[in-house]
Amino acid sequence: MDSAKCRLAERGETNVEDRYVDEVGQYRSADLFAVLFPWGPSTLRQDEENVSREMHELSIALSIVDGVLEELRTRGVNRASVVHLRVGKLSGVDTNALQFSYGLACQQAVLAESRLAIEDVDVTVFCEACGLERPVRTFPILSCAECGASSQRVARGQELEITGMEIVA
Amino acid sequence: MSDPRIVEVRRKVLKENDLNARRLRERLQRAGVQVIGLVSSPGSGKTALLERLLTDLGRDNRVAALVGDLATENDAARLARSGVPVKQITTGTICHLDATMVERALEGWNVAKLDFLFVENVGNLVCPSSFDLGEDLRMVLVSTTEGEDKPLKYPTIFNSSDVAIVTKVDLSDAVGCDLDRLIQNIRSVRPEIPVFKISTRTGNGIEELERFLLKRFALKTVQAGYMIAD
Repeated sequence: MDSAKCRLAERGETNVEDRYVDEVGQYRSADLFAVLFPWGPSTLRQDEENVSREMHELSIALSIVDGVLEELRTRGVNRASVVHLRVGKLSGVDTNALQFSYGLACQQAVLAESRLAIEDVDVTVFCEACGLERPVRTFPILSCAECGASSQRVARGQELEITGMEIVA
Repeated sequence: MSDPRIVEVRRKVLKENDLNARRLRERLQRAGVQVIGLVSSPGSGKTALLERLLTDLGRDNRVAALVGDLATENDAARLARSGVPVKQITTGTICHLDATMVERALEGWNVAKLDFLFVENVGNLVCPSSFDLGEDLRMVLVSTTEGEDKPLKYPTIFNSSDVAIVTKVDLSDAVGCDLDRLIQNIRSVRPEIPVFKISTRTGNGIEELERFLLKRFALKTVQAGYMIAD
């Protein structure tokens, strides 16, 4: 998956296939698709769930790159070697797919040499019965690990945030 | 070269989408539009339900729909038969809608002339869960043919939804679906969520859902027959 195309999608460009032509000006989109996926779209569809999943993390990886670049700019720094990320178990993000996607997403940026350090966050709920924040007994069932009462107030586990950068002066 | 220095950052990864969604939500609220999102796996019956909702609610309210798919305008063509304004968002290779796609799709529509906007997401239980579209209400659909443990396998989408709808209940016996267990699983990942059981084939449960939506948004009855194109 090439990042120029993802960028278009990230900017909310619909009909990405068509607009890709204008942006790159080299290939017709159909030709490009054929080059990228010579076996044709029908094979892709068989594996749709995996492909989709990866693309979702790719969108998120591109947002991370954009976010880090902005944070670097505001600090007048050129480069980060490590990006620290907090990912909740209920964030809907698969961290393996995200690591893979990050490698693709930062290829052309000044972050090309960087890596992601991911801190997983387990789910906790605010338990009304205990009056406390508690871990859940069995993820993803939202019930208090202590008393078993169910709770709809998720305290932690939905995070998807950049928490730090290691920068090289 | 000096040693790396660690700087603390506090930044949501999807900050930009969150901001776009918030802006969109505020704009639509000012215009008096209620936005209802539909999410589910492919084939759960989002479009079939929307066909009913657009037709039924469109009689007394000003209703429109956006519908997302990777490719084809088939769903928009299907929904357009209900007679209300419908626009397809084809995402190309992207597996979910985001707030900017919704905003762009609304260009050319005078949203002030709408009461209800339905946004049907790309059929997918994973990716749409992370992206706020500026909805006021998110409805997740799960069909009886998918297995009772779907909510446990994909907790995030259920947890981020406000209403759950079990579809194809007319098939539950044929496919051996334990409805009580399915609903119990939905509520175990999203306690106290309102659950509706419907069949678009037989029409069961649809009226109840429509009454819930109308009550929730306390819509005024308005004259049918309107134009929303500028």
